Amino acid sequence: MTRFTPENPRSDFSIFTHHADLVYLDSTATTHKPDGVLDAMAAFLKEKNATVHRGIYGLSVEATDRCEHVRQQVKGFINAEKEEEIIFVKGATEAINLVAHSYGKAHVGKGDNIVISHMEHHANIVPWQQIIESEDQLRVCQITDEGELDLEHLKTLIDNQTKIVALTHVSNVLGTVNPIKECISYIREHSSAKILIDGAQAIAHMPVDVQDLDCDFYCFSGHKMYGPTGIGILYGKHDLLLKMPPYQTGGDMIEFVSFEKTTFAKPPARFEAGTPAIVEIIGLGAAIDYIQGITLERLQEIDMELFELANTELQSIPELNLIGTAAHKSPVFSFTIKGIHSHDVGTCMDQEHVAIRVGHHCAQPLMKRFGVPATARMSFACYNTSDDIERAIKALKKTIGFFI
Amino acid sequence: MSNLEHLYQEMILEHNKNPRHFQEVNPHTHYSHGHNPLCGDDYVVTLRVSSNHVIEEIGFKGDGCAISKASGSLMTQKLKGLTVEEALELKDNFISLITTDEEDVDVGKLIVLKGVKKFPVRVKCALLVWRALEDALTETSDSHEITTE
Repeated sequence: MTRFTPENPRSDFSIFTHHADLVYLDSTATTHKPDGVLDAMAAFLKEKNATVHRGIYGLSVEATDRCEHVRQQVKGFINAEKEEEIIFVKGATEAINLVAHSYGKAHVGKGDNIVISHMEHHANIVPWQQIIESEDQLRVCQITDEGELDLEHLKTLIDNQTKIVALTHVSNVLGTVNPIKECISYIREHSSAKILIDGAQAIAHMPVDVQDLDCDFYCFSGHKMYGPTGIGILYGKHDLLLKMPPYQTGGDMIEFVSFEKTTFAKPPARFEAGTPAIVEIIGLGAAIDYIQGITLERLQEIDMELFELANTELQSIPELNLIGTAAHKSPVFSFTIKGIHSHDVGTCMDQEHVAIRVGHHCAQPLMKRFGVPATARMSFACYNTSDDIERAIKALKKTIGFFI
Repeated sequence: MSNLEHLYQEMILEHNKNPRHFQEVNPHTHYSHGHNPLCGDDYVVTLRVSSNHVIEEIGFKGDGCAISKASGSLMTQKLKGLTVEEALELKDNFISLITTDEEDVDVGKLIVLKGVKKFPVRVKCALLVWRALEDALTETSDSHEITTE
């Protein structure tokens, strides 16, 4: 049973017992894992370990049931219609590559276009570049100085040659929460493009209902939602998945193999070649239990409190330039400080045991858009507290004092 | 002295604020563009080397953190007037200084960068301009574009 403490989630994470002094502000990169997730994974390995799908023996049957149970959990968590729509992948990056190479390669031809936005992570840029013949097939929606999608520009990019629109739900740099539902309904009305939403930064912060959103694909990683690395989910509408060719081939994804011909299994197995990340799947299930135990409402409440406090404190530092000031934001703060390179900010903050991310955050085009080589970034999760913010601001002021 | 003060010694902070030879040498005989894709640090190193292999002019220009900028500033100050051979020897000594436990290295005032050794993730910052220098003076790449990765 996953232990969860909605009033004080920090106590659910042993990492803070081992590092009592740690102010961890890099949850956008990866979240820590509550003890319930770690215990579930260890218990599975110690008591239940076996492969899935093939075994005739009890342990393997049980392992298969456990993994398929997690598939059902994910289906419920994002309100998919069918469990066949839930594909286990390594993470959001693999999910996007799967769609690009399977659906994209088969459907994006000469003269067709793919629409993305200027705030995408490299994982939602590069896979699309790999499947187009000329660079003008990739159309990029502008963003405003506040870091919001320019919806009017988006409308000018969509036409009947648009085959795929791939947008992030929440920006990993700006924190912007995009009006995805509004975008999807416009795209639906004006084209037959298929729509992929990168939910890596949304999934642990807000309820996601793929049927309500009406996206064709939605993807996320386990390790940014209190689960382990090496596991993620691709959701795809069943009728689309049925028609898509495999991305990788091998064991577990076939119907029948001979040297002359191979027929492929139906989804989701068709897209799950090889032995899956079994214990990570168990961990993902426990992470969903954790989120549902705390409740997304409570997680949003914590986000809101942290956002308000951090935003006010950061805005009050005159040397600090906040990048990303959208009206609807997740608690992610990218900033530069005049006269201090973000790398130096990161090192100084680390001396005060404040862990922040510095660099381009896998979003080089976005850095260029704001004319900065890199930013420092603070991002928050449910285990952060107002004390963390106080210490981070103190460390930041000390850093500024040191350099300026 | 705290670790931080050890890393960011006064001289480093001063060179970061007022980098020396912070320009492109034109015309130049040697060139390299160095880039750290992890953090975005980016410098061009240019040199004018005489026919008897003496570095007559050297400059670096670009954008990066205090460590990389101070390293470039101190490097250019130190190298002007040396022969190519002497410059490459100094480069090797400097790399030893910040990547090994070697105590007995002759690097002059570049010793102020020694504190970087305690910050492994920052070693690449200090080395970037030196890698570019090496690339400019030797034929390590045809394009004279190097990265730290």
